[in-house]
Amino acid sequence: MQRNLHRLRTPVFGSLLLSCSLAACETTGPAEPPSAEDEAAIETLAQPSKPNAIRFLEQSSFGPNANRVAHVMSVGIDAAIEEQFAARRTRYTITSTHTLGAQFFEHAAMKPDQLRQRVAFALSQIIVVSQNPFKGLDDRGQAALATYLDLLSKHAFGDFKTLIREITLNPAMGHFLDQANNHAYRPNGDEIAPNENYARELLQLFTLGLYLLNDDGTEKVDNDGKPKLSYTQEQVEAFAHTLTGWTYAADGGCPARGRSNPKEWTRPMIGCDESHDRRSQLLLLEKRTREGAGAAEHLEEAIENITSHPNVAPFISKQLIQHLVTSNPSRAYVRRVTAVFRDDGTQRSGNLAAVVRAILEDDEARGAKPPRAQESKFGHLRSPALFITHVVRRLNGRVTDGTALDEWSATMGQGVPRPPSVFSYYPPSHPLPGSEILLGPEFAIMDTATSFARANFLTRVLFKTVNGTEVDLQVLPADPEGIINWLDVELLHGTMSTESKMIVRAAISDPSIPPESARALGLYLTALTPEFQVQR
Amino acid sequence: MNLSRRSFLKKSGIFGFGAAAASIAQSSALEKMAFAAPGDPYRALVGVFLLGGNDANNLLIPATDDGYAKYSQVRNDTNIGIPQDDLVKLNPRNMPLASFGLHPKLTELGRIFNEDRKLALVCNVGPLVEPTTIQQVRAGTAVLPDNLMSHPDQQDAWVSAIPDPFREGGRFTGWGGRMADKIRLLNDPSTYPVSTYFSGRSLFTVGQVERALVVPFDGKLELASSGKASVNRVRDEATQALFDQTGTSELGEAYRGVFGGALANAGARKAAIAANPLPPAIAELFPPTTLGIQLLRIAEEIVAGASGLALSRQLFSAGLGGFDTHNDELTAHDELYGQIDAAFAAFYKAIADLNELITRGQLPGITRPLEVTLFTMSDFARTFSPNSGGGTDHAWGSHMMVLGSRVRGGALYGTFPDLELGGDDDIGEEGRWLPSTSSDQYANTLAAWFGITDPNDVDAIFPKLESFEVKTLNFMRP
Repeated sequence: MQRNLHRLRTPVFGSLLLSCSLAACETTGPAEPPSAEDEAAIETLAQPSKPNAIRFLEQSSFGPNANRVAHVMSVGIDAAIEEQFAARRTRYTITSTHTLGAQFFEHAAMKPDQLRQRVAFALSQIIVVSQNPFKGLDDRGQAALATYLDLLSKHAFGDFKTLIREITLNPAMGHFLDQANNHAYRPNGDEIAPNENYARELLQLFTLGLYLLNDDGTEKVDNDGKPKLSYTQEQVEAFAHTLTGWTYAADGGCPARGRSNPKEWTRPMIGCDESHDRRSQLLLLEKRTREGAGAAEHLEEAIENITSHPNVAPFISKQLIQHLVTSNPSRAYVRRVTAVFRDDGTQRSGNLAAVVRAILEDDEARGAKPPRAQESKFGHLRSPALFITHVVRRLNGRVTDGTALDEWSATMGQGVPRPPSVFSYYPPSHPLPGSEILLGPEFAIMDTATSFARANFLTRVLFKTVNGTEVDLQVLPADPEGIINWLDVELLHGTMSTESKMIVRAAISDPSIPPESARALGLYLTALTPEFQVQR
Repeated sequence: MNLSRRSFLKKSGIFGFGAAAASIAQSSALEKMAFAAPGDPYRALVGVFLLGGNDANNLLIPATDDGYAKYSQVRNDTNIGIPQDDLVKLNPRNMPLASFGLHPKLTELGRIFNEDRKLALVCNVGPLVEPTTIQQVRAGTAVLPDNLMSHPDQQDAWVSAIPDPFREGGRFTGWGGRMADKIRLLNDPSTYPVSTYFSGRSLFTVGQVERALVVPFDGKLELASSGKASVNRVRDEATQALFDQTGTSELGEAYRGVFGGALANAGARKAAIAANPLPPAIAELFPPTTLGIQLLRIAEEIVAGASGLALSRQLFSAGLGGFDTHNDELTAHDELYGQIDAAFAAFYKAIADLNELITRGQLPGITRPLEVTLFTMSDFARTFSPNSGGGTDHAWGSHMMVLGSRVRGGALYGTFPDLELGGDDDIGEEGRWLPSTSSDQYANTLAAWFGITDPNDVDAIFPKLESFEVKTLNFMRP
């Protein structure tokens, strides 16, 4: 178990009691440099400080609230993670009244399996099915996407290879990327070039990525300094052939050669050898599939081949870190997590629970603040859904109908589960605006329109009402000084700058505004600032 | 957001709303009249990105018996062939009558091509790293664009004019944005963004300095009211003050730049549109479709830009999705091309009607003609040979449309490919055409018309163009 050594937070000027928990009060005197004993203050996973607990909940849930913070401080990080592993899994329902997007926000705001949902949400942005192409169906894709979302949450703490196998057989994915009814032959027996859509995205987005990676997440380069492709066009075609012959399940089993079963969402797809190319194909790592084998055996060979490729571990590990903790993890952080992906300690690879635990318990994620070496580049811009749920949960939100929240998220570029394409809402490699070194994936959907949408959501939820959502502004004190302190300690885990406090204090104390608007105004201003918008 | 712009606006006392913004816009117009040469036209480029890779093999089809026979040999006994009789016949300049045809849904565009001569078709265009021959491709010696046939890579290749990011060290800007960086001098002293983005591929409008104003389809870019005027005032002043600070988090500062810039520009835009609205009769021309709504908004922005914001150059980005027709291509195209025909024709008429009003002095605030050129882009074309799903897969060289009063229309440009599987233009056996025109040659033609003529600027905006002898095609009047 790792211990976290962090310096005591030293204030610039004389304010007392920056953070005080049930377990320990870190009091500091006015403007004194820390003594040697102060510097050695240890923060363990078992006894997180309040800022540490808040940061942990920002990384591992859809947002902290007072109860959850107190709980984590009391049981410790490790136990909190164990509890989340054991928490009962929330399922989507195929109801006509609440869309999947609405349910997503209802679950995220209120259900107890926060970490599982958070990881499933991250996985849904890596292994993507979008509801958009299903709009023509009678139920607009509700049934299909529900199976896909449930599959992700089912395996969020499971085995990565199993996840990849099941997603390959999932009918919603089959419809989305043409893995369903990708026949190798026409009914008359003519050979036909198989559709390459699923094979390509499986390699490019779900498992390997475009370029070979070192275990620290950096790209391998050749002698000329150029990145190296992790697969070729020929291999895409080889996988396309290998994965032919699958159609939707039906009571009558497989149809005739070259024919398709009607769409069906409740069962995995079935392999039909009549429509499958039985020839041997050369896959990755110089492995050949067995000549003459049927659809099911070839699919298994393909899944084994891909998931045994060394690129999977860093490719997936780094993205999970980006979704949960920070867009620019240090190489060492990525390397430590990749190692756990490769071997969870029992020689199993792809153990997602172990990987998630490694991400959250790592020194780089833990502590009252980010590690000094990472500080200026630490964090990630809250994506729209995380921004919305964070605000709602912080105010003890009750979401009886998440439709409006989902619509707000869509105006910010993240309607759930409706990314514009298989490339998700934003690419993991998107650069930070103005930087040639740092990444800022969530900034890909950050522009003038979505900026205004973020602000206008806050106006709506804080000063008016969002349909289907009740928030409680009374979690804040009534007096201006109490409000400022709450915003600093609870919303910003103690990082509010002097200048921000001055500006917000002046605004909420302004005599021209009604006093009952002070809480909403303080929240609005603070939640809009960079200090809040970037989760750190 | 760049600091000089922010301090300019701060000194003007602008918080982004109301009267302050209007007076700034007005004084800019006065200053502009002193700077602009008499008769300098207003010019706008409207890029419409067809997202997903448009199968242009069903957009533009040979219509002579011999030409059509080649097309039908591959496509007609599958479920994606277009019957010869259904084609919208074209009479391209210097070619026999009815030698080509457009997809059956493009009736209005066909009329604009044949009668007005204001639509041009540019054949077999695609990203190229350097002049490339089919022999080189077959020998494996060609330097190909990186990740050919991957959607995001080719969308970015088109809009960035950098088809080989490995060698170039990445791509962080688009040719539209780099063009905006240079052309903004023609809008001086305004600091309003050159580009406005509704949809498409967002990298297109990213420049070194210039960033597009991103506007939602409803055209509204403003801070909502809290319900109390006093709260709004205090709220918005405090917001501005908070965004005027600086912090130490790099991601935080990037966020600050985006949000702060949004506040400043939105105010100026709102005031300009309010003072110079699009005449209702012209607004009514536009169909309420995804593309129609974007082009309506763009027409609004053009009127506001040319008058209240006193701009001379604007770049717009629109987009339409759904072109990744791996299945059911005929059905998809009926809807998509129908939408394109109606929306493009409406936009063309709207600009013509606006110019009519301007000539008669009936559009307040604008005395110069509006010269607007609409052009398409797309990730790639698709395999001429269909797949097993009634659709087509990813390919390369594609046909583009250019529409506007300054277009030398009614003609085909570039070289139409030989529709032979495994033939002289096919990089394989499925009908993936090696482009005969580079996307840079196409784009540079538009840029030259827009005002980019200095060879150093051309080099910076189109780094690959250097190795091509022909820098522009001839489809624009100067």
